[in-house]
Amino acid sequence: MSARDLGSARAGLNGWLAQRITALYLAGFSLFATLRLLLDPITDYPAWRAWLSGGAMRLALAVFLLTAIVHGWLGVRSVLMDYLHPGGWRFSASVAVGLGLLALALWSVQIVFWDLRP
Amino acid sequence: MQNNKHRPVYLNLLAIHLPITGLVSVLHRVTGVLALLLVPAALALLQRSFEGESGYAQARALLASPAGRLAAVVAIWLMTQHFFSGLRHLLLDLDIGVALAGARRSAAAVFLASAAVTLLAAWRLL
Repeated sequence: MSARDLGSARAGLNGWLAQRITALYLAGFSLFATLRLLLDPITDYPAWRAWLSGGAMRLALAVFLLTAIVHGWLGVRSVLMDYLHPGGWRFSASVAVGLGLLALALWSVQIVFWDLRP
Repeated sequence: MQNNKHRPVYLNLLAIHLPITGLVSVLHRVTGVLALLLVPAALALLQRSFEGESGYAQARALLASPAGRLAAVVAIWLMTQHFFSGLRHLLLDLDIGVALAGARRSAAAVFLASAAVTLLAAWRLL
């Protein structure tokens, strides 16, 4: 096998970069949400719903959930590439994980844009 | 690539000494995969909490039950361990703490930080 058969080197760099960028967003949002809830705990349903359904927060939550799924995909992908041989279980495992994550992404969209609708 | 079928393979995991830096790295993967497995439960809980007053009360009761508290503490350990080891990886990407002594110290700091947050959570929740 020559290096040409291994695919584009840039594709790998994009994944690497996306993993870092999603990590920063996930860390920032988690830190913000945790501190917000610790400093000023929410104790009833109207306040809980009002906090997350307000315009900017609702969008930030949607981005958080989808970002978590993309970050999860990039992480699992490197785990599968390291421990499963190409051509063997790696392809089927990737397809299974991909479909599972797609379902989770659609579910997240449903939660933010339907359950959390004003 | 021609594989040598007779090359020695020595993977006795009990005999391989894993340095603390390696342990942080392996746990970053383990906690990441486990966290991903918890996403469906987290989404179900989030969705339930938006389903009116009763759904919100149910979600809170679920989290406040003994099993819910224990699950929360485990999830907090997973997430803080992954958070701090991830932060360490980002710093390593910026060439901060790459030398062996610093890498060992930051690996120890990751364990201490996640243990501290988890113990605090366990003290408050259990």
